[in-house]
Amino acid sequence: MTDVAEELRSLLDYPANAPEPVEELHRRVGVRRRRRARRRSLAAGLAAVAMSIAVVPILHRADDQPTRIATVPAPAIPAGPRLEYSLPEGWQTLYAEGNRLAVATDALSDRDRELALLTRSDASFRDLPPDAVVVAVGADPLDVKYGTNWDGSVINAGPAYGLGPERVLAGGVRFRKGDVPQSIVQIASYAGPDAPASRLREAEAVAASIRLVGAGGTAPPAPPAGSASGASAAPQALKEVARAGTGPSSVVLEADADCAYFRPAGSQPHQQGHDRLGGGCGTRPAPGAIATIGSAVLVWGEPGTAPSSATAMRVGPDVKSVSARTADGRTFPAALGATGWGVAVGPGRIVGLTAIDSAGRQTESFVP
Amino acid sequence: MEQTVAADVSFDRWYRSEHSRMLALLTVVAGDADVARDTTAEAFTRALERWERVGVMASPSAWTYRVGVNLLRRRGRRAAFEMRLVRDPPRPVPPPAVDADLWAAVRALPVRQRTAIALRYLCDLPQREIAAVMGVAEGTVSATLTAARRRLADELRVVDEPAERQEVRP
Repeated sequence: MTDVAEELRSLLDYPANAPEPVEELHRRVGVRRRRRARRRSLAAGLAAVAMSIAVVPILHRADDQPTRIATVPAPAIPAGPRLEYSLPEGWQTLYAEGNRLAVATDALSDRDRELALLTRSDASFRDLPPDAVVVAVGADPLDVKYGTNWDGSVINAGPAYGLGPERVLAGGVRFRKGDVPQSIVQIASYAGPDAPASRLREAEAVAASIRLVGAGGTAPPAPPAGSASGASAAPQALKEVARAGTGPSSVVLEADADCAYFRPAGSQPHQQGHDRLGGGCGTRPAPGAIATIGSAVLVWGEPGTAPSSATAMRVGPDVKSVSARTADGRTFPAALGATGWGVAVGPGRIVGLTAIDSAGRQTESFVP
Repeated sequence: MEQTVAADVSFDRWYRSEHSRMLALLTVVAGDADVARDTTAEAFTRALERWERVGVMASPSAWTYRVGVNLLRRRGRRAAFEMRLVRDPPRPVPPPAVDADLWAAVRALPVRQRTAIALRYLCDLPQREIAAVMGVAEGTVSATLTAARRRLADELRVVDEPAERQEVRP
């Protein structure tokens, strides 16, 4: 073995095995480092491009634009209850979300569509085409489906997945009501005075095709911070800014910089925070604009009289007056106070507010 | 900057002293003088790239041996695949300084035995460091060396040494 080792060691001394110049190694290392740096800068560039495509539009989106992020489509799992229905030819879906639906033979204005979704029996449409037919599924949080009215009359829910007897509303609109069993919503059909009989039959077919499909159920969305009446998180030190209504149904609106609540005028002021009927928080709108604060609430008057409804609002600078409109089409003025806060109280269900600025321009806001 | 120059000077000296040993090692392991030359250059280039780290190791040479052996192992796997595709593969280039019979006997050894023999008799590494370079246990090194010596003895009809001397461990 010693001979083998000695023979192999001759490899160590062979002249042709002289090392290549060390400068060559340095040159090779330099080339590799430059190549690596180029790769790194290329990767950084690609990352920057990816960032500009994916992230920058999110960061620089307009406030009123939703954030859309491309995601892998997930298996469709319906969240919460949804409505299934079928439409005859010539009908269109105006709104469909959860357990609320509006379908019609014609397009409707946003205000009329919102009014239809309340499924009230006193709806007064402004722009409903005379030959149009609307079928809506929804509910008015101020109304009940079953029970008795304030005057003791029985509230008839209407036939399940059908349309009950016809009733003519303001403007000759024909109204029929049906029920969606095991739910808080009901069906309402509104037909213009010139709607053909074939369309009315189609409305019945649409109502009969509606089914509420429960899927797991979801918790209701949390109310905006400070919007619940009597919420302990709401500001306590408020000053009266406006007052509206008469008699027992009059209310006082109290506000601070960004929140306002109204309470019965006769309630005990020292129990602040425990007697609030409605209101909420919101920044002041732009000049000439109006925003509904919270939703409409019932305000009870003398025993045996129909309840009123009330809502808070906030208007931008330059708004001179606000009128409230009820579902049945009546209007009355709202009371405006400091820093754009206002309150409206009146008979019937308030469904809209109209602000008029100094130039006579009108801006509307729906009252949920 | 001064540190870099000092590191370069240190590398240059080490490179000049280690090159022949590294080339001899890889020539035996690869069984091909040309492949060994390329791999040696690559192993030293990698050592220079990382010299700040390698230069302070207990044995920069052992690190470089391991890099060289691993490079050859990867190259061997790739070559085995290419050989299947090539009808007339190139013949390995023998080192001119070694006896042809001895070289044939060494080349006939398995790669692991060749590696162990070269690390032991060309690089003068103790078994512990051979094990570290080859990534095997010390006992495996001992068995591999014994098998390699026996096989070389059979091939070359030389008298084998009785046994590998036991090394004194600290």
